[in-house]
Amino acid sequence: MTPKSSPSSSPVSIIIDENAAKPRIGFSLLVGILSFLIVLLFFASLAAGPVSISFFQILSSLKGGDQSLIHIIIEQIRLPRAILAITVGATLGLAGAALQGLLQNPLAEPGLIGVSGCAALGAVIMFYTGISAVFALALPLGGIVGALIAVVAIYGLAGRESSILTLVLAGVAVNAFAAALTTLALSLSPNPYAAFEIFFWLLGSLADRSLSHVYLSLPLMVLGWVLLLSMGRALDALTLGEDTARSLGFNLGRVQAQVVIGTALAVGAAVAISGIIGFVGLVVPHLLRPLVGYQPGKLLLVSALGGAVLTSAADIAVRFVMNGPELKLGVLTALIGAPFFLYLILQIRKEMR
Amino acid sequence: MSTLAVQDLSVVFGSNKVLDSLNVSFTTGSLVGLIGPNGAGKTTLLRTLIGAQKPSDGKIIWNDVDLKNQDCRSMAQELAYLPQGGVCHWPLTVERLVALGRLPHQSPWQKQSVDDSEVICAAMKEADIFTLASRNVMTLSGGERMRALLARALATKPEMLLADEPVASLDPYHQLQVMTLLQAMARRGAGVVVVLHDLTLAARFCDRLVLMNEGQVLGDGEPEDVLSEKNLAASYHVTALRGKNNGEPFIVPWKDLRHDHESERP
Repeated sequence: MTPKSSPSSSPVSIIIDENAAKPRIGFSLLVGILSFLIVLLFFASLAAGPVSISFFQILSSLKGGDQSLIHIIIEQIRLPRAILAITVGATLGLAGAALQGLLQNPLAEPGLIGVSGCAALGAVIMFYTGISAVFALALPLGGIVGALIAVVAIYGLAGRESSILTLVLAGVAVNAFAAALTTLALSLSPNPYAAFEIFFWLLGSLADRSLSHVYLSLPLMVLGWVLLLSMGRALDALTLGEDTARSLGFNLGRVQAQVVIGTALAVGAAVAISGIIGFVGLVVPHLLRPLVGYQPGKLLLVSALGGAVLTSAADIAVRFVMNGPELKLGVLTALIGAPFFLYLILQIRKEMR
Repeated sequence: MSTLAVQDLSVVFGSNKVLDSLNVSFTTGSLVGLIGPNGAGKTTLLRTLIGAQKPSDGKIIWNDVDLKNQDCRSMAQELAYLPQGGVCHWPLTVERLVALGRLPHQSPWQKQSVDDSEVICAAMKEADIFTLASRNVMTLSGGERMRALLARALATKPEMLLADEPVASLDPYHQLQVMTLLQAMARRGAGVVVVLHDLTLAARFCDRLVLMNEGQVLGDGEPEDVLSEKNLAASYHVTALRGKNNGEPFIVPWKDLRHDHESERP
């Protein structure tokens, strides 16, 4: 009964801590800790910035409608930002976990496989054609259509087999296509200043967003979350492969459609507001997976919470990293996430040997 | 008694007819061995039976109702499938893996009940993996993993189990143990259809054998009749040594007929 490190039958290998399949921490405790961190970071996000604001000032400002400078800063600058860090982060963490469960592939991530890129393209098109100026909801809707096209393309290219190589290659193709079309849109822009602004928007940031951005994106994101969070059982069953999942009573066509649409709704709406914030959906599920015993269903909720924690923390950090202009959030997550991605690839290569 | 019947079933991949107007039926209460050479269509038949493969033609009928009109979930409670090879994509514990077998019996937000836990424990004991319950599935040997997946299928408590080569990767002791277990399941009233390549296991344990060849049924009936010299030559192209030990048959493939033909030629 010598343990084998990696079964040859499964094309996907994950970094395995030999005896770590059993979670060391209770699920409710984990949810509690992450929720507490979100609340903590929410208030930290309201307090942190060029103008430092105390906790009591925050509370009185959130309660009352006085028109002091602090109230204006909180309501118009910091509150939308703190809320969006939570909602966008939760979306990215959740979508990463759901896509990884559906594709049975630990490297599926909205940014890496081109979903975020296509969502950004959709939003850019809405912005350039001027449709979003007339009809505000067009911006998230454009993002959603872009994301939907990308998820369907990725699923068509790499869904049937859980090969890491196929998925990453499909992602490269979709990403390159989205980037080319986005660049085309930028270079066709009559106004170079607008093109410059869009270029910076694409890097991903939560700064200078207003509460109307929150109202615009939140309902669509919540709809996506509901679709994804209700997929837990189906993703658990998919652990045993598509045939067995079907024999366990899951209608695979419906499962696929629900994950694809849920991802498109949430990520499309998030990216249309925030730009591309990469790697959150890769890092968060990977770190949390051992804590829920590698169960794809339980991973969904904790990944959403973890995504909100990581994004909130990163969004606070960018305010202090540089003097002068703020570091873009998407740049920071890429700076942390890309080496992490390389590390994962190295681990997987070791596993496959 | 429940019946799973196949009527004029055809499955075509491109120009290749994998199943060719197949007619066969399986009833609960007996252990049926599905045998035949590689590529005979055994796995395709099982996959079609659980709805994973769409038939090009023909019908599958479970208790007088066409499979197309069956509810996914109630079907999942009655019919369990154990695929070949044993896939598990994430390193769950054995216990969590076996617990997946209870999914058809749980509503979407329902937690695992005490009954579920008892069934899961019993299934793990039956498949002789209870001592491995908290082990990571990925660290098990191939045979141990197969038994964990078998326990998963047992935990569903199906009326009929379709198992694709469940003993292929097992050591001799566990081959006998799993076959005895499947036989006991059938004695208790469940239906078991098991794909086998070991002719002795097929002859000794199965109540009935279905021999498939090139997408059709070549023989169907008592093991002794199905494993005739003529049938083995026509399907596997082998001759076999036969004998009995304490009244129970054994049968060992011995000579490759095709190879003999070629070597006889100058």
